[in-house]
Amino acid sequence: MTAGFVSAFRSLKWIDYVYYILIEPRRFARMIIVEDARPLWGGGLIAAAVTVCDVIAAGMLGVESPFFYYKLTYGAILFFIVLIVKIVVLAGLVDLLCQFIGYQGKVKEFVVIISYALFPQIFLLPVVSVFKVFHFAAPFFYVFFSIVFFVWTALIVIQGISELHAMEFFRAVLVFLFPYAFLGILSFLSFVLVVILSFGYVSFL
Amino acid sequence: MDKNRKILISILALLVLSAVLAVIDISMRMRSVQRERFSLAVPGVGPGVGVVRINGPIEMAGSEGGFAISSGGSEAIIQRIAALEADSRIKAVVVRINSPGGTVAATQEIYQKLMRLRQRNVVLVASLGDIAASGGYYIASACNYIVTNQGTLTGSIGVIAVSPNLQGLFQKLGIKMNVIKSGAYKDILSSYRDLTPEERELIQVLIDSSYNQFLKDVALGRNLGIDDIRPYADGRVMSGDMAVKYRLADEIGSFEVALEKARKKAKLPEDAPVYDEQRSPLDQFLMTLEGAVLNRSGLQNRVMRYRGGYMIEYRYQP
Repeated sequence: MTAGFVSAFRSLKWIDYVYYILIEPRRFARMIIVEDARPLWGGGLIAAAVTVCDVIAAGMLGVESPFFYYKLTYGAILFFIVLIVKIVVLAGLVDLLCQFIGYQGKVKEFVVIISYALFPQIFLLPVVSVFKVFHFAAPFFYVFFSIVFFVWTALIVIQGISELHAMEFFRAVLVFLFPYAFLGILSFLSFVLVVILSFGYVSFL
Repeated sequence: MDKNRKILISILALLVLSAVLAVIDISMRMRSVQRERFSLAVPGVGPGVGVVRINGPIEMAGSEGGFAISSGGSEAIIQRIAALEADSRIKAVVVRINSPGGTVAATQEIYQKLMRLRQRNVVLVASLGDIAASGGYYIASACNYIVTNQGTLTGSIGVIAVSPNLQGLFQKLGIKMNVIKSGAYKDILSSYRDLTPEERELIQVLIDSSYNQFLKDVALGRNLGIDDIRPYADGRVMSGDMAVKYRLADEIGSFEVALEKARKKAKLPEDAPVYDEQRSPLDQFLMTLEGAVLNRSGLQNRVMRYRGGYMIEYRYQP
């Protein structure tokens, strides 16, 4: 397994994946169809890098205590696990909807595309660093570029969905938005339930 | 190597470099902050005054609210005193009392613990709040020095046992109790019947015993004779200035005055740190929420006043 990992690393194929995910997401999607989702491990590495960069970027906004090192180690591991769960849930829900409307199940490919699509979010760290160095509204640009890079990620995922299922772009947008709408409604209903239960508990006291 | 690959590897290398530089930057700023904190915190880590807070009725187990946050309880107070005793930085302790008293054993345990601390030459100063009556005053008497507010309700040296007599109500409602007991006094002070003269005498012996112990301990703590206290130890409540007049307290003053006195008596500098009790923000939030709920629903009084049976107490009970 280690030898396979080393040879895959030395082949620099992973550079091509990163290159195409940024420049040509549709070609990346075609590549993973051909290669049967083999670059899965690379997606995990990107998720880990995104987590670490996000922790460091957030740390740059204020003055950190020594607790920062715990955030950078244990905290990053925790956030990484949460991110992996988010990727799997998102891919699962996207695939669920695709199958529901008559497309083939491709959850493994979705996992790969979504995890690689996170790559632009790594750029948040150097961008925030620049604004921090010039003392120019770093928190504002942290939020602003978080949104910008999320939109970039979303566009990559949408193009990937469109390419994987030969789907129209607009329809792919709706498929991408489905998990957020679904989880949003679910969260809202859960919140209402918690509020009702809390009031019930408080009035019982 | 392909040109695109070279560019991308360079970008990745720059990303790694920026991450390393960012961590170094954060660490450097962190260190400088630590230096500032250290210079400001020098008095905060040296010898100082500990604070013990005694609020509400004194019982062995504290009240536990709906959010499972326990408050008070003599065991928690004793643990706090033990923690201060074990802390080599603590040279003096201010005992902030805001209590109408409570059960005999719980009060005596706290008194004994404070006396032990006093014997270890830790200066104890009591600061009396709204009320420090009966058992609250009992605890205060263990301190070397008592600072009271003028308007503090204190004194009430005495013992009380209260039990409702619902015999008439039971008869009216036609309720009869089936009691099988091993001895004549097993259901003493039961609410469903009146006390017999023998039972009253037996309870009185208990009350007198606890009262004498109260007098003895207050006399010991205040360095007075029992006969000096007895004239005012008839259960009367008194204000702070009356307590000073009767030598049951030493000075009129606030909590701040008590802290200053503790520093002075322990020969600590004027800016010696105060080590007060800390609660986690979550506990504070839950306690605030619990307090708001209980106050709004009027449950606090019911919760605090309800008892499953009678107790003999050092307690001011208007």
